Amino acid sequence: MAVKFIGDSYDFPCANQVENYGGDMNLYIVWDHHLIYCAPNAYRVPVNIKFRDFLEQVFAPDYKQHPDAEKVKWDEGVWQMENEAWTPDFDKTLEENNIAHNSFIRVNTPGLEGMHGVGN
Amino acid sequence: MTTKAKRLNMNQKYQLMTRGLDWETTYQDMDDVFPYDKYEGIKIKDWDKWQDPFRLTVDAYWKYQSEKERKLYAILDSVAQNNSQLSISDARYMNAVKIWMQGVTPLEYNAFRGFCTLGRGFRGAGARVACQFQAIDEMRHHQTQIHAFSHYNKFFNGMNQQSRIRDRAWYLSIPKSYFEDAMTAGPFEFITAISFSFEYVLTNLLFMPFVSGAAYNGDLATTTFGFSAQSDESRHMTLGLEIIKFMLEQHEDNVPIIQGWLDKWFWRGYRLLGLVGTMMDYMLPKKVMSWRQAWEIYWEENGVALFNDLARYGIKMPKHHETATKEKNRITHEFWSTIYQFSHATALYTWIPGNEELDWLSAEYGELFDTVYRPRYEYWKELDDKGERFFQERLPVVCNVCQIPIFHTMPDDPLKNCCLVSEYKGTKHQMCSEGCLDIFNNEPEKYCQAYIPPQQIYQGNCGGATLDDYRKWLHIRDEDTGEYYGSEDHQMWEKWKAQAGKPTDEAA
Repeated sequence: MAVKFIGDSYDFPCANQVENYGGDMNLYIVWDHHLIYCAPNAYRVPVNIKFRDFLEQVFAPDYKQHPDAEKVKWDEGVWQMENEAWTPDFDKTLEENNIAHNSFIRVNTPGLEGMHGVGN
Repeated sequence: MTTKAKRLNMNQKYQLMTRGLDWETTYQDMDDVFPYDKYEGIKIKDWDKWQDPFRLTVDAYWKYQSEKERKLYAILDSVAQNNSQLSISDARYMNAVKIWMQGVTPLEYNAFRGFCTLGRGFRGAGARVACQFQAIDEMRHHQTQIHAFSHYNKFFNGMNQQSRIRDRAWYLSIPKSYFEDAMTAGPFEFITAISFSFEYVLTNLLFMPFVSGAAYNGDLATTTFGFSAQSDESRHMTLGLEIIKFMLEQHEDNVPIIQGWLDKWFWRGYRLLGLVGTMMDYMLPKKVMSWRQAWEIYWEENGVALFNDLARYGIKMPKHHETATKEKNRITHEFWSTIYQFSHATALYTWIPGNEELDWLSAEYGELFDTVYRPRYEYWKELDDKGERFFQERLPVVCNVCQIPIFHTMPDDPLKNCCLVSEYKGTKHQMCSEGCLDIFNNEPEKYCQAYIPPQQIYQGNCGGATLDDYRKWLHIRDEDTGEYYGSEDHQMWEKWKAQAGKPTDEAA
């Protein structure tokens, strides 16, 4: 099914295309089972930042009010991209990891299932 | 000698207005005069089969409405003269009023615009007339709500930027996008979306809790406009059911088109109503009923019965209704958690419910509430007691269809966010659910244009890159936002209570 319209064409650019980010891109990432932070986080990031630097310097500090934040070891995480199994190389850049604009990454850290063991 | 013409009765007047005054054009092609009522694919063989059960005429409409206006404004005067803001249950209640005024009152105005378009767009005069009356009703609701709330605006924060934040604020893009989605569709989809899915199927879940909640919580102004709008609403509901039956009876080819719209607008309406459910469960200090209970009565019983009635036309239950029912024990807690942590970027106050309220929520929601949400609130309360009130500083991923931050969890796993992806024109788009994903995939050309607040903030279009910059761009002041306890509304309320010799929160 496609949109029905009047006139000759119905063709508009995506409002969130990468061209609107001046060389940067959007990255979406969620740390599963830490739902006191309600939703996946959104970041505007440079494409050449190392994945480890992003995780340690940008992502992890956003969970600072969670008791699991100081225990986490990202290397032991189970990773997904677009909800499918994926293995990142922490010392490569986002681009080299094939992380593209609006990629959605999910990390699950066995043993750290949130407070009370119920994903909080 | 001339004889006086006999006065016409109501039915004759209605017939003349909606049939006799209409004509088939001859100088111009009818399709050029009514260019919008065919492209959606709905086939109408005989517009005269359209029956308006109310058969309203202009003079009757004027008479009814002016009577209601006189009563309403007499009471609103009395509300102002008698300082009725002092009679509400608690100042926290006022946040339910704020969310209505910020989010729903603008919808009334958009409904006015939409029905004006329909009042010109349909080629059947009966349908045009009904839509014109409804347009006037909607404008009236918009105005009476603003007039009713204006008294509260003298005392409480968060109500003074309604028209600006309606267009800009992330949490108000949820209702705004809902209506604009309908308004940018064709006239038949609009009327299915608004008159049927919204006004008929879901309105009891919207109007009932709000107006009853107002009555329970001592808000005379809101209760009065609610009752004043009630008779209009029942007329709108009837219109909604009539238009659906009319379209279904006109041509069998209409059935699959309408089914698609019912699937879409059921899900969009359900997502929108999560906000209302949250208001019911959390913002009403005196509770009417829980969201779960309202869902069971108004959807699982009444809504399902309605769809059973429509089965004879070949209409099936809306897609994903099972998921909506699965979510009934969690959606409002997830939503409140979200507003709680982002309330520094809203013109609302939020708080952790008191112990009695938590007990009520436990009783209404049972095990899931006790194991997941209650401990979550208790943790946030601990942080707050240490002076570390929990706020999320990072922007969330927002659903590209319903525009709600993706706090939603998997249908069968309430401990894990659900975030689905669809790629269109080389750009990935995120959705909160199978319901929103279906809507996106059916019309990606449309939804790829959505104005999603976090994306726009990061593109540099909203005053800066942080939530603080963004809030300033919304013109929401520091004192309008954040934690309720200690806020200006709270302090004022405590002062009033002390003056009246009532126990204050500190003493309680």
